Parts: sequence; structure tokens; C-alpha cells
Amino acid sequence: MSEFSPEKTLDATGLKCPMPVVKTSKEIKSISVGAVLEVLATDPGSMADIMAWTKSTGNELLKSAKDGDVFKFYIRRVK
Amino acid sequence: MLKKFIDTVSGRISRPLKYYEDICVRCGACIDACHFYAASKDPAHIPAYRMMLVKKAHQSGEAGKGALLDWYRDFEGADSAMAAQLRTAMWECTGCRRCAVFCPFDLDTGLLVSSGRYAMLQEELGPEIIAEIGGAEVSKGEIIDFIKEFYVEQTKELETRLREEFDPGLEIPVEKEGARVLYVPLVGEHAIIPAAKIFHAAGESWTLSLFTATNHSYFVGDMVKAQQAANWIVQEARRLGATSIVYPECGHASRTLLNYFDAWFGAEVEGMEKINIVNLTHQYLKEGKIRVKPELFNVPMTYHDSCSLGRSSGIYEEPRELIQIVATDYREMTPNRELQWCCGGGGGLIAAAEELYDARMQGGIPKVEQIRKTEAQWVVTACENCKAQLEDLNEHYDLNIEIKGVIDLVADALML
Repeated sequence: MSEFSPEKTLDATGLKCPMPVVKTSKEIKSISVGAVLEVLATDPGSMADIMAWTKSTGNELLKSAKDGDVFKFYIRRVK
Repeated sequence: MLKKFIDTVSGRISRPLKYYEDICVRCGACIDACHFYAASKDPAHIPAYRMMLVKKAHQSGEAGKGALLDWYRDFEGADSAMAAQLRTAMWECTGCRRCAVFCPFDLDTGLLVSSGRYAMLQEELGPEIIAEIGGAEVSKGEIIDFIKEFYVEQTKELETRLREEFDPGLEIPVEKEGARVLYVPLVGEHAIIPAAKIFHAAGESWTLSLFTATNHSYFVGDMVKAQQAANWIVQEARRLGATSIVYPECGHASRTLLNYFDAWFGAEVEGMEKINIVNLTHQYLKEGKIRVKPELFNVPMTYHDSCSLGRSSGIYEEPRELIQIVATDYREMTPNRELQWCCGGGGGLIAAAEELYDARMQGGIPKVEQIRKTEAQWVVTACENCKAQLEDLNEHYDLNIEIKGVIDLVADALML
């Protein structure tokens, strides 16, 4: 369990962009406002895509980190 | 009902769109041109009916209410049934513009659908994820400094790998001032590797863009954001002093580059070359800057015309010539070029994922039948959306084909 206690984890490993963002957009709507979604992805492009997506949609990217080949994102649903 | 849609459409009715609305006589020449209608027989897929629906909604606003000719327009009012039909008409369309080729008045349903989609999203009717990705492409410019270091590091790793696999002298420069070419890739190394090999073989002075060419705002008719996303690339080219912007194998992005950049950016891009990687590769070959092993691939293959590259940008012969140099067994689909069938995945539908999956699979049936008739094992194309859709069609319909990019073939056949 991470420091952010995610309400849900989205496994987007193996998916090519833009699918990690597409799935993230769908999943964030399934958690409560204020809760955290953990996203796992392996496409290096997801780093820029998810960071830009959180900025444009107003959701909060709490942390992004690389764990081996997996990128982990912790996103708080804001609205 | 549909107030936001009606207000938005009314605000966006340009002279061409007004002309389209007024002049379509519903002759029916477009009916059998639509790949969605060919498979579904749903009236909401008929291009003239798509046009008529928007016209009805548009005229149901304040200006048209209670007008004497309501009966003539067969006006039922903007209700939930109309909303459902509009949803089908606006989103189950790839904007491929095949209908426009068959229209005796050259009416461009794609232009109307573009405005219609933008208006539908104001009503939250449709896959808003496409617009969200478009928004992220605009935001990317604002966060570029945060991701630059990571991007350069990833690119260096790729360069090291390609030096071992391809040629020790290969470089993938990023932010190289004074480079002639700014190559704008897609997300993922698959769009960088063949281009890097070709640039290296041609001795080109190039640099890799920090941005990607895709422009999802364009798919949803948000031309303000589409221009904003493209502006990051134009400013990058100007900052680095590049005189040529080269776009990857991506149909809609190339369509914006080739058809919109001059209007959007005027003097800022005046004198700047704007070209798709396939055409530039073709130029290299004609000018003797690159050499390839002729007839390297002894596999029956065919070429799928991307609607954005073909019908909308006039790129037909260059990819075919490149393929035919390296292939022994090239087969045309019928019909092809201007009359080719859309793959069914364009217009941003791929990004809508599951929401439009069934529609995509149905809309791809004419393409599936075309591919089967060729008995080709490789289907080559030059558009990322088409490739993704063809992969899905391959799996869904057991086509047993491989999908290839035009520049993939050239890069694999290069002689240094």
C-alpha cells in the first residue's frame, strides 16, 4: 500500500498511448471526489501524457515515480 | 432540450455550412458512399441525413420557432429521440469525406460533423475523452520543462540501442539549434526509430521535437485548442531555426500541418517547408540521398489509403512508389485512392475506446472485405489511427494479416 492509500488501482501496463490516459479518465470518474487513483503504466509516453492530462482536467497529480519498468501515478480526483 | 447544442451550432454556422444546409437536395448520391451506412443501414449514418439533423436542430432555435414552414421541414422538435440520432450521426462518422466525393455539389459533411461534434460536447453527448486528450496536448506545452529531462534520457537510451543495432554513427538529436528539419513524432519509439534511420541514411540535419504531432482537439472541432496545440510545435521550430516541419505517419496530424498551418500561423510559417515523412522519404529516394534493397520483401502486400493523407491531402502515389520498390508482390485494393473505403477508425474514434468499439468494427466491414479480396498478408498504411483500427479489425475478423508502416518497410530496406 502506498503513502496515498488509493481507493482504486488501474493497471494500464502493456497499453500504448493514449490508452493509459483513456483508461485513467474513465477510472477517475469511478472513485469518490477527493479519493486517490493509482495508475500503473509501462509506456514511457504516459509520463508526459498523464501529467498534461491532470493539468488540463484539473485533477491533482500527487506523485509520479518509476519502479523498475513500471511508471506509477497517484492522482487525486478533484471534481 | 439540446439548447447548448443549438446555440453552439448557431454560433458556428459559417457561410460554407449555411450553403451546405441550404443546397443539399437529398438526392441520395452519398447514401452508399458511407462505410457506416453500408454496414448498418441506419438512416442516421446517411450523410445527407446527418446534414438534415443538424439543420433541423439549428432551425429549431429561437429564430425558427413557429415559422410558417415548420411543416415543410418535417420538424418534430428537439427531443431525446433527436439527441440520440444526433449522437449516432455526429460520432459514428470518421470524417473520411468519401461522401463528399460522391456529392454532385461537393458538400463536405466532414466539416459539418466537425462543428456538430463540438456542439454535442457542450451538451456532454459523446466521448469527452477525445476532447480531454486534446486538452492535454495543449497543456503539454506548459509542463514541457518538467518532462524534458526524462524525455531526453529516454531518447538517449533509444539512440544507444540503435547505434548497436543499426549504425554506430546514428544520432537522435533533441533541441538541436540550426537543424534543418524538426521531426515531430508520435508517442512511442515506433514513430521515432524508422525516421531516425532514414534521416541518418540521408545525412539529414534534423532534430526531434519535444512534442507529439497528434491533435485530438481537431477531431472534436475545437479549432481554437487545435491551433494552440500546434502552436507549441511552430514556436519550437522557430526557436531552433528549423526550416522544415516534418510530421510522422499520422493522418489527421498531417492534415492539420498541410491544410491548416498556413491559415493558422501566417507569416510565422511563411517559407517553412511542411511535409509528411512519407513524402520526404520519397524525395530522398528520388534525389539519391537514400538507397534501398529492391524487392526485399517477398510477401503479398497491399496499401490502405488513409483518408486524411489521401482524400484530404492528396498523398496517393508516393507511398505506393516506395512500397513497390521494396516489394515483389504488390496488390491494389479496389476501389482505391480517392474512392477508397475508410478503415472505420479515423476521426478520433480509436481514442473513444470501448464506447465506439462496436461502431468501429461495424464501420470497418467494407475495408475488411477489400482486404480479404486482395489475399494480401501485409497491409501497409501511413496513419497511426488506421494502423490501430486495422489491428483491431485483424483480431475481430481473424484476417491473419500484419500491419506495417510505409517508412517501416523503407527503414528495414535501407542500404548504408
